[in-house]
Amino acid sequence: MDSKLKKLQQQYQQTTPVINPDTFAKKIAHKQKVEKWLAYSEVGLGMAVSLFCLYAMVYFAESIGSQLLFGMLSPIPIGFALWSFRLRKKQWLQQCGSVDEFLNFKKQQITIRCRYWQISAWGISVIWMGLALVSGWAYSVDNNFLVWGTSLLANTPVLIITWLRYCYVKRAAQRQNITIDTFRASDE
Amino acid sequence: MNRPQNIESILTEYAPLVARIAASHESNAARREELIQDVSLAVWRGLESFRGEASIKTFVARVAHNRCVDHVLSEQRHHQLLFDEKAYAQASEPCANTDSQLDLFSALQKLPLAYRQVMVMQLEGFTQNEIGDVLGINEAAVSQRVRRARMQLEKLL
Repeated sequence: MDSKLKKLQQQYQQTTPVINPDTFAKKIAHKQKVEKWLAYSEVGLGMAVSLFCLYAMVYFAESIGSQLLFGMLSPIPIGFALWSFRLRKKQWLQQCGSVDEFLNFKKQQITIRCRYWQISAWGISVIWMGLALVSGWAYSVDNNFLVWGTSLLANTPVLIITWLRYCYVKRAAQRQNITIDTFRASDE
Repeated sequence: MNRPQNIESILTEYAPLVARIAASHESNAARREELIQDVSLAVWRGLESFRGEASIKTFVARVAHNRCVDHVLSEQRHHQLLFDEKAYAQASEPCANTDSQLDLFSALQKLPLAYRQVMVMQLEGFTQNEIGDVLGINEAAVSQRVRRARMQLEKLL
């Protein structure tokens, strides 16, 4: 090892940020417990809502239609809670691979996030346009315009927010992709 | 299976390593503290499934670097690029000249991410083989990055 590197290493070790190891370990242990508890309580909550749907199906539903509705709704909360639990665990494990593998994962994640907001923005635009058409038609025949007009009005901020969010995510994704590409290009 | 018995003692042992890696990626004290905690939590979760394929030090460094890359990327989600890494890399080629003398961590933070990581690991005393394992690249690429990183760091200092 050359002397310059040795000197740099000493300088580097000497400038370690100050940490009280005992307080630090306790703080992390506490945070880990809280996060674990939160993750399990999310699953518990999902299960409780699913059980309530089943209970409502058996005891509250007064028609076949409402029984079917509660029956179809019941697996959704627990399914969503389990999916979110597994996804979180998968994301934790992704951080244990090499940096190159992690960058692949991040690139994929950025693309998926961008695509999700793009599809949401176009989907909501289609719904908004449909509502606008129906409202126009209701207005022209003077039939239920208030209901359709209110729905259109209520959907307008959702449409605007979704498009703004999509533009923000897209711009951020471009910046993040530049960083990842630059990282990879550093060996060329 | 070489599952660590006491995660808390491992975290305590490697806290200085984690703190130095975080400090080379974040200059703001409050955000650095948060990053150190994030890295430590990620190490904790990772250690629960650690199978002993590498040394614990290499494993901690791998998780820390991944978490720091994630931190840099999410900072960019919220803010404009603080500096264009590519432009910076070109500007700090050997011909570039800088009069400002920087302390080591400030200089490390100014290095492009890829160079910063190899430099930090070399300063931590990792071998080129271990650096390659953490970054997922071959030894030839590591040695090239190390050479370029050293050149840029020496210029900055």
